[in-house]
Amino acid sequence: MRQRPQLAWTVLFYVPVAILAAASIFGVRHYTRLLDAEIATGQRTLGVAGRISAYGEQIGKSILLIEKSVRLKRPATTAVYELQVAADRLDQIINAFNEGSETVSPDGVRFMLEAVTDEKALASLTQMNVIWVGMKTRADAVVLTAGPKKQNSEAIPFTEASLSEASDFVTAQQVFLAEQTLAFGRRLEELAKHRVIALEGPRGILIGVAAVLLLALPGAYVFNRVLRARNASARLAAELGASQAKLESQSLALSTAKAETDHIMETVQEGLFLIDANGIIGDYHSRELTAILRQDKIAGRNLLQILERLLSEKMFTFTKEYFALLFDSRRREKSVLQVNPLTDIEVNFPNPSGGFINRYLGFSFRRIVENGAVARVFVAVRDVTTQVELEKKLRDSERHKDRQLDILLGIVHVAPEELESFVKLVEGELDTINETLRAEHFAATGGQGDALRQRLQTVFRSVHNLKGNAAALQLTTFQKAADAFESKLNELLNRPQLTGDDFLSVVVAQAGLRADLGDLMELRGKLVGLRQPVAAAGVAPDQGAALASPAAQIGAGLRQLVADAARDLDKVTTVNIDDYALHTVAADRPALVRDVLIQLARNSVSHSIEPAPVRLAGGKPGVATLSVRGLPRTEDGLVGLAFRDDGAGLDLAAIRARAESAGLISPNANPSPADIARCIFAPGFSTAAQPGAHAGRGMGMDIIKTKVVDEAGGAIEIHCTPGEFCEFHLYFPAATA
Amino acid sequence: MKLLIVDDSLIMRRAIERSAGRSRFSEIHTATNGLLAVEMFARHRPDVVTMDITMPDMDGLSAIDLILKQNPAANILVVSALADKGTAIEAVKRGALGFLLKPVTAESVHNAIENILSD
Repeated sequence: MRQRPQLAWTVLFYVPVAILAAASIFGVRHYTRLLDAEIATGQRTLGVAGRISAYGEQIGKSILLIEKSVRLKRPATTAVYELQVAADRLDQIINAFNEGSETVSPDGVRFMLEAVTDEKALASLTQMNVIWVGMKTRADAVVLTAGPKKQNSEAIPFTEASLSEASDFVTAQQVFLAEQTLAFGRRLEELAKHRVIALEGPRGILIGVAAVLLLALPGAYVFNRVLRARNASARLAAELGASQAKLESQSLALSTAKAETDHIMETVQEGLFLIDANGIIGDYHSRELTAILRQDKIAGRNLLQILERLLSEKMFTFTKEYFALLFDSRRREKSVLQVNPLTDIEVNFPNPSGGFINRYLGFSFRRIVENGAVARVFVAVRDVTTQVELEKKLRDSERHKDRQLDILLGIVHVAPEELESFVKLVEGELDTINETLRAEHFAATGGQGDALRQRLQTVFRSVHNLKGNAAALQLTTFQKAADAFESKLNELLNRPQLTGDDFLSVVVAQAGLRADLGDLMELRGKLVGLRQPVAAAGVAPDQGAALASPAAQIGAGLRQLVADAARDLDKVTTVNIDDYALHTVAADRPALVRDVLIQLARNSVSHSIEPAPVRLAGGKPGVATLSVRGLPRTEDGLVGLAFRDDGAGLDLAAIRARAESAGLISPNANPSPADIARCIFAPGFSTAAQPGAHAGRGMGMDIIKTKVVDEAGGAIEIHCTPGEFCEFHLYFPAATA
Repeated sequence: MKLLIVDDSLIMRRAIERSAGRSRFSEIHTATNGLLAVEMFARHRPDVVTMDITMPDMDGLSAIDLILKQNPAANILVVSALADKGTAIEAVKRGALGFLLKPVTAESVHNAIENILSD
């Protein structure tokens, strides 16, 4: 770019100008030479012309001398010679001017004399020729006369007189010749001057041109330099302008980018920021961060300190360790990101109006590595509460579905009538629990510890009864739920202090049971539709009748329960039931009889019956026997059933110890075995070391006594020989006709 | 490629063995506790180790330390039933390259091993 104008200038200007200047100088030199030659020739010509009058004078002088010598008769040899030379020279000169020929100038230089062409000069020359002819004739004659004699000469020798005449003539003519010579010379001078002027003109022009051209070179160079300098500065200015424009556009792009980033940071629904190795938050973060962390000024604060207030102590410890890992470049980022403990972390923000606001936050991290070290960590945080809650709902719904399936699988083998009575039982017990837990009762009792404990006992009885019935029907879902409920109640009962708040979990558990019941009823409804076609397809009618009999149902349930419990507890038991007796007693009060027998059977298997090896060691049959038989009608008109097991029976020593610690018997008293045995009917009494699904917690007997004696108006007797057997006699009022 | 599976449960060892696949590994060794794992690592120099955490005699975290002492570049994938976030962090802190929570699927084991071997 920068070379091209210079090259153009060189080619288009400097070279031609230099050539022209050289040509002009050459021309000047040429003209100067011509001029010098012209001046020299002119001066020589003038010199030659000037000789004309001089020779004319010489001729006149010589003739005078010759005439004088002739007159005095003296030899005139020198004069004749001089005359001859002068005449020859003059003749040559005049001829040269006439015709042009090589001549010798007065200073001895031979040069070419041009023939005269100018009119005025010619006029003078003609005059001179005329004069010269006259003079020459006389001079020749004088020479001939006075000079040595020549052979064959045509000239006529002069006489003295004619010599004198010649002398006079020449003398006279000599003056004319001189005049003419003068005029001629002037003219020649004039002509020479003109020629010089004619040469000087172009030479002057050429000198001017050369001078101009020679001046033009440095001038143009300087001009060019100036121009280039101006161009350069203009270019520089333009470049400066361009770079400034570029800078401006760059800064515009930057500010646009900054504005865009700002927009993103203003609107993004995530908290975005950087932290350094100390956990200090960078100056630039998204606006949402303040909303998510519920803090106004976040830049420059320590993320760990912010989290310390929001997280549990354990989570905060993990978080500290995790931050150390994030900045530990020896550990791969991929591995570290896998164990992020803050993916959906529960945080508790203090609520301005009291209490806490519970949210879930999801943090994600990315390392920013500079020079091989983790310089900063990019953090994105989102409020994932909705997501976590949805997931929880989904899990709950899955669990609910599983539970429904469990319930369904549990009830398919249960006869509709049994199921019906189970539903009624659960409903009844739940109503009892609900009634017990009603708020106004708490208000009425003033929330005192003992009153609360009593309510818990009532709830416990209901739950325990429910559990027993569920076990009898193999409704494991209910059995487990009731067992968990019992554990909770047990835990509450063992607390030294009870408050109304402690009942919250009881209410929740009760609600859970009610939900399960709702599911069961719904599924039962669906099953009815399913079963009918099966029945229509021809199920044996006597089987249906057997299932319809309460006694048969109770018997089947009892056998099932004992079989399950014995299997779980690694015991072997057979069950003998007097169906007729059972039918007689249970027909009017199937639920009561069923509940009581279930409870007794559970207690027997759990506590009374020994494992087979123990039985064998004690001389008993390995297989234990549970039996239900009828009792004779009493005088009071009560009908009775005997429930017997041939297990170890009641452990009176253990019962006494427990009764003493529960304050039922004074340590100093001397109670009869019957008195000790009666203690098992006390509310909350238990001798089981490890309560479990099958183990009664001692509440069973309590329920039995309440139901049989207090509610039904019956009676209970215990007949027991420790180590051999245990028999409960249950009496109920006979059915009214 | 050689794989060492460390887990005290036979079912888990079988599950990981099936998931990891014979195609990638020409040799698969197993160990039932941390002590045996360290011994097996020294003997067979496996390319990948899957490590249970809760095991008798020596737990997985201690085994990780001893194995990395033998070879700091050992590729260890922790496969644990402990959902405790602290255990996962501790494992990575000690130098495990991956953490997989039980129960595992063929896909999760495969992906975790690929992930460990990817760089």
